[in-house]
Amino acid sequence: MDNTSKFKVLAVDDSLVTLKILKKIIKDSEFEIVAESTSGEDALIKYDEVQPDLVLLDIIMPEMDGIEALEKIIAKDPSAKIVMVSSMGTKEKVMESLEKGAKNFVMKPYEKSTLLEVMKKVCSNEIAES
Amino acid sequence: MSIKFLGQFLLERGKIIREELLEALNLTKSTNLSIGQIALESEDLTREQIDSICICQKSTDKLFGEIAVEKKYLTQEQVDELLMIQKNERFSLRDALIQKGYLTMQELQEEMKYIQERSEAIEAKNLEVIQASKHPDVEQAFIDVALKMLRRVAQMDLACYELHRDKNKQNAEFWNINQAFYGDISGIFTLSISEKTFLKIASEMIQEQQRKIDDLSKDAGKEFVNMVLGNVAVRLSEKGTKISIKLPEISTKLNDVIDTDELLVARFVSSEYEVRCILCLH
Repeated sequence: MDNTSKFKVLAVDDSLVTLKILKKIIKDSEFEIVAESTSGEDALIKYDEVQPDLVLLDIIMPEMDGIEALEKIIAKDPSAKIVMVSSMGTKEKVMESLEKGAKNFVMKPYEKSTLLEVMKKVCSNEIAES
Repeated sequence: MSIKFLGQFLLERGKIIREELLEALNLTKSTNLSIGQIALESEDLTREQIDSICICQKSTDKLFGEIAVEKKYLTQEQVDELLMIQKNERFSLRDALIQKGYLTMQELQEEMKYIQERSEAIEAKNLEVIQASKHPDVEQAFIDVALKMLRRVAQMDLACYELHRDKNKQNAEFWNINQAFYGDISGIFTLSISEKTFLKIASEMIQEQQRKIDDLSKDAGKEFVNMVLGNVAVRLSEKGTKISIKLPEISTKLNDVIDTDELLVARFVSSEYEVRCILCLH
């Protein structure tokens, strides 16, 4: 698949390692990370700039956390496709994320195939909520 | 204490030297097969299925066989049979030490008796330490999750060697990764590690060999602790205790947080690494 037909992904995580691993996972798939953010505030700006097909969003981040960023992105674009990727996978956080508009929640550490499968389902509108 | 520390005990007691231990361990490694290797040889599993199970193992507490059954690669009967083969054909460190002529059977039996007595004393003391806590479930969750993540994600063959609450017995390592939490219970969790251990954790997290503690390695260390606390939060929430976590920080000295009434230090050790997990509840 050439880059022009790949799904555009915005990856948001304050961990440089996580962003690096995400790039490795996504390489050679039907996705392409077109922008990265290490904070919620920057994610809002990048979202407007790149208009991604999918957002991968961490929760625990400095200043604006992932839940607040989720709310703000959904407020400006209710059709935004956002998958939370976090170690804070308590039932409350998962439910809060889904209620606020996230399409799915992948808990860290995750299996590569699980993340890709979730991304595929969300982008093909088969919303699989965990 | 696990039998896996037999080598360490023998080294400590001067019964063998380092080179002998390494040679004996190499002999066991080259002789023993993992359950995955046995399944591959018997054609019960394909290489792709084994890789898939190994990746999955990193993100759960589950054993190889449990995941294989869940994924419907194997039946429980097949797993039991593979485990039996593995057990029957296991070549232990004891076997290797005797085969290499480093110890006689009688010397080894005497050492095993000593180890057993000491192991029982340590386990009893650890249990006593946890039972004396105001929050035994919380402390147990931190110990269990940290140890599992160190084993699965950081690929370190650690076991819990000692639990204590002695403020004057810190012996902190150079690198300390701290993360605060709050909610139904608050406190700070610290992973206190040497440079070698830090690099091991970072390398496994990044999936690339790290040779120095740079910004990326530090980030990996913080992300590892973040995963530990996230998973602890999930474990505690299942029992009705809710915590939120702050951002992790790295320092090269233990800070004042150890000055608390509710301190727990867990020493996890292997033949190569040592990790101190310090939990301070407020």
